[in-house]
Amino acid sequence: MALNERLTAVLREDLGPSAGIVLLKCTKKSLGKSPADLTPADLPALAEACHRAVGPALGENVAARIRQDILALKA
Amino acid sequence: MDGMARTGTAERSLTLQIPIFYKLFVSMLFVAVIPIALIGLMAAGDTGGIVSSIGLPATIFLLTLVTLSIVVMWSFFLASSITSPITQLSEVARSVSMGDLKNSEVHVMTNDEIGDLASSFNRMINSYKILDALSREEGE
Repeated sequence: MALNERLTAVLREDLGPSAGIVLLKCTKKSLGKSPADLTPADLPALAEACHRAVGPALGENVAARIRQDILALKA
Repeated sequence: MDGMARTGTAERSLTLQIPIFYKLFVSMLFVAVIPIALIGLMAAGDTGGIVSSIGLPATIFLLTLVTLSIVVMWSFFLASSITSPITQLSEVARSVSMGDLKNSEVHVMTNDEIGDLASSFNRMINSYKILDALSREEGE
């Protein structure tokens, strides 16, 4: 499974159908690339971007868990 | 949404899942078995002493009272355990349908079909919140 698909699956656990759009927005905004071009080296920056994007709407706990789950994909 | 927002975590932490179907199934069996068990007790057990001391009508009345008490308590417990999470979900759904996303937290912690429904509901509300935040962001 491609990295962007794994990321979408992780985000979908919390964000449901908006997982794809959050991934797209965060990837483009923080890394300036498409989700299909993501590499494991991009995950820390992406995790922070998702944390910042999700935090105000869903709260710190959810945002922190999402960041942690994204970083876990690097391992 | 911090409390139950992470549906996956809540699901992972629960090891035993008893579906409502089986709860109801066992309850109905339980209720059906009580009279049979009491008749068996009367037939097999040494209940002659009780009957002779308080009389047959009083013994029957006492057994009926005990059975009814157990059935009423069990039915109340079961009905509450099924309906209270649904009521909570209904209230949250009503509040979200009126555009109130701040009070859209579902705290249902049951590990049955209703718990699954609450998890999915939380995920849907999260998605709604995110899309709402993104649309506001784009509007600014």
